[in-house]
Amino acid sequence: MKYITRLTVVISLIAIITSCKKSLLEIDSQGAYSYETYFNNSDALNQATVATYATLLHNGLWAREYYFIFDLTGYEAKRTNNMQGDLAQLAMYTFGTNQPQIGDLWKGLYRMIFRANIVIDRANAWSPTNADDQNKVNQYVAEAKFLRAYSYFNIVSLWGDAPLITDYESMVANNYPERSPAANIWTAVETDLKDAQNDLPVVYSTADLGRATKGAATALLGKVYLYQKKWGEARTELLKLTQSPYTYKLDPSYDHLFSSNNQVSPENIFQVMNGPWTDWGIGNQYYVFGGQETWGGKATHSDRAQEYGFRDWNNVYITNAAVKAFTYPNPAGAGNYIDPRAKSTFYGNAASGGATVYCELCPGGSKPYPFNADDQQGDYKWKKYQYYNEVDTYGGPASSINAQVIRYADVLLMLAETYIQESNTGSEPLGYINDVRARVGATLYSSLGDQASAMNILKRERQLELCGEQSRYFDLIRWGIAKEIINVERGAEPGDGTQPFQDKHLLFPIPDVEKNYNPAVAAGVRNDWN
Amino acid sequence: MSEGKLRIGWGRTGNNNIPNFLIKPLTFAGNPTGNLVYSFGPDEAFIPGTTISTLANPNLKWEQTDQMDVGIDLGFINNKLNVTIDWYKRKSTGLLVSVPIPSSTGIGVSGEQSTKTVNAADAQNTGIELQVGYADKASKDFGYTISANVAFNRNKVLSLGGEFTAPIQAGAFDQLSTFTYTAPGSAIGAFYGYRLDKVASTQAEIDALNAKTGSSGTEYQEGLMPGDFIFKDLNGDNVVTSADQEILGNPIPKIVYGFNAGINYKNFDLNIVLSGVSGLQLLNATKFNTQVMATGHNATTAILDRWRQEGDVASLPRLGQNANSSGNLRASDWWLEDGSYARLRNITLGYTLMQDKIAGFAMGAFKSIRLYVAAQNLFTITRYSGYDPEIFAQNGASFIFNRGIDDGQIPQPRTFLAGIQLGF
Repeated sequence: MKYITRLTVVISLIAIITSCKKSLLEIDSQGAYSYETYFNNSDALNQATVATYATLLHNGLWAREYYFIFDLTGYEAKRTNNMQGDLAQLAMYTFGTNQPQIGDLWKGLYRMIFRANIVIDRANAWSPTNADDQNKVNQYVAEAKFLRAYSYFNIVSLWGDAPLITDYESMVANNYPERSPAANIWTAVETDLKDAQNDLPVVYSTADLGRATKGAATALLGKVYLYQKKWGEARTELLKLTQSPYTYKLDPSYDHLFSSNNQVSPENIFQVMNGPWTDWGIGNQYYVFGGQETWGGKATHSDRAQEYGFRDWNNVYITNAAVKAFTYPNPAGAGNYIDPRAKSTFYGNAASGGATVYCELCPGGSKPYPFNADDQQGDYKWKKYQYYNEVDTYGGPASSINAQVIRYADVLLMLAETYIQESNTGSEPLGYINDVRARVGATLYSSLGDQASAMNILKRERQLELCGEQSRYFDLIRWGIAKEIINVERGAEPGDGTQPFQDKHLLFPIPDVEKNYNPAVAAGVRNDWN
Repeated sequence: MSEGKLRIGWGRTGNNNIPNFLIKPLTFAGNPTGNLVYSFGPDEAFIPGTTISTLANPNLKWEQTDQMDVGIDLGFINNKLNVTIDWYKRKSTGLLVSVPIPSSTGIGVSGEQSTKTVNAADAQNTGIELQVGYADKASKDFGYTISANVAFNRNKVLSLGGEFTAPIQAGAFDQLSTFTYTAPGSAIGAFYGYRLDKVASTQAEIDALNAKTGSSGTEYQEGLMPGDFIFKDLNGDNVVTSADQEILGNPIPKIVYGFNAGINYKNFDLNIVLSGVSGLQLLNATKFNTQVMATGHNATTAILDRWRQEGDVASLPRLGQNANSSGNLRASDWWLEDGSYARLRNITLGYTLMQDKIAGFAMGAFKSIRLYVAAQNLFTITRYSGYDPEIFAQNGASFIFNRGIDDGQIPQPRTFLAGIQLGF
């Protein structure tokens, strides 16, 4: 009897369990859509692609940290006393594996890869029925591959061996990737860029200005070859950009490239699109401090102007080392020559060649830059990427000046380098270097001399033309002279005098945000660094 | 003996408190939805984007706890004396937690560490609880109850489950790296790091350590200078590396105890509640601001005992160190303090005026009037140097992995109360 009672209970329990309808247990979210079903049309895939671009503004990247990291480590910027805390550690090269900006850079770059992989994964899962949709899908995948390549290009240049995740499913299956050899990452970058080159358009409709073009993929591929010292292949790619169908040319105004409306210039190849911040009703002015996509409202502006601006947060100087580079032996005659790009790059005194007035377009007319001759550090401040020509003070982060990632002058100088590196110092490299100089009205070279002399000229030309554009750190590392140059520059710098660059600094430390949570990566980290 | 009871219990409970929508990936278009944008076009207009930001885990299941209890209840002298003894063993499998995962997965939103909700850990708590109570009414005017309890607990992580094998590291604060470590064999959220030896007094001391490494140019401890903390070489290879870290202690008390007493004498009543914990460590993160002068905050007078010049024997390192984990401020037992305390939680003294005494007052509206004074947290006996040893977890962080990290929580106030209680 007892047995029967128990059996009845069990049976009735089973009956209760099975009679629950599945639909009652499976609740669908009302606030979001399913990954499996949402991305099955070109509009949704476009949104996934836009979300991949959006990571360019994430922490560690171009809305804030990217320019701090590379201007400070490349020693184009040095800290004022306003800069304290973790950024000061970056400035002093005392950073460790937990440096927040470096951790954020790693996180931001891998988030870009994750979102690119989503575009590719979802595009593979959808079969469009008409040609127009198919073309769009091809374009989105190509854009995703461009961004993924851009991210891995940064990763491999900065960290060397690193996790190489090239599809969504494999990441889902294994959250603990091992590091791949740097050579494999370079290969993956080349493959992605060649694919992107095939499917990206040369130009977009006006409304799509800012998306990656065929030219952007070609320029980045050229740069990728150059970094690997594949001079011939680099030249082949970069030369394409000087010919039809491309119509790139140097902007007649150097200053225009770093102004509030720099989104439209024949020199732009790839930019980070920073829209203006208008008011709190639209978006959060301080979203750059980690509120991207989450702190009420929409925003895409940069806080570089606010952080660097001498009338605002004033966190950094331009280094004396960078300022002095603008004064060099006259290419056509005796004595010293002050490069005209000085007055576009920094504020200073007349002797330095820097700009001495600001507020040129302000209602009250221009004002003198208050150069403090008593400042032991040398009172030079950034002008590039500032808009003090328009306003006296910003009052908060709001800059709509787009960050230049690759522009045509960079391409011409890379082209010149491909010749010089192969000991050709003739008319081709001379021509490219002089093109870049002619645009700003700088005295032209009549010859580059031997290879060593030509390389010196080229290095200076890149330093001056791309000053403050986060190029120098990468250049010094790939030329193998980072330790020597940075220690010499810092040793001689007023207010510094240190020689902090050690051999370990040739690569960034594998950040704690990876190492602490990934035994497969931690196992291979040498000396608690990389 | 007036009463005796033996209790044996076994139970299995499940926790189905799983947030919704963790088992399949959902789209993310910013939070609130629509905030995810990028700019295109000459006017740099906002274009909406949609992606995903979480890693779904289709394998999630209920966490499950098996509990075994054996208890004895004993009553003596007409139940004036009560004794309760309990032994328990609580084994939880598949504890549902959000664990950090490698950032290379790309999961999460800007600035966030990637995480995933998993059935991460199997843990076991074993302990004994003992309670003794005595209540008596000695006379018409005098009665009292006294009770004391003490509980011993031991927490151990049995495994991290198949899905997640890396130790869970958490508890980072300011610009420093993680301090807690959860791995099989130790307590959940145990403190992990280096052992401090002393402050290096002279260069000669450091040279001697470097010489012991056996190869010239090799440093005993990277970047070590006079006035820095010397950490112990635990594995005996004469070099301090990340392999010289170990479990330093944990924030889960081994002993929790309490004491209650209530005494009535005539119209007076006195109530005392005392409680305490023992056998735990706390991480005093406020030292980052008050004892090291790394970030330009005011310090306490502790800073006076810092190393200043060659030959000083000091307890704190020199000024001007890096505010990161590569030097003196790395995770070490320097941060840890004994978190034991005994606290007089409440003491109340009351006096009751009964009806016969107040009959003429307010036309007899009140049946009784009780006057009392009370103090809460009147005193705390502790060696802990922070504000308050009674802390739970780092501000806003997980109670499991960030427990016992004192980053300056608001301490509990000492409160004095006086009151009149009216009975109608």
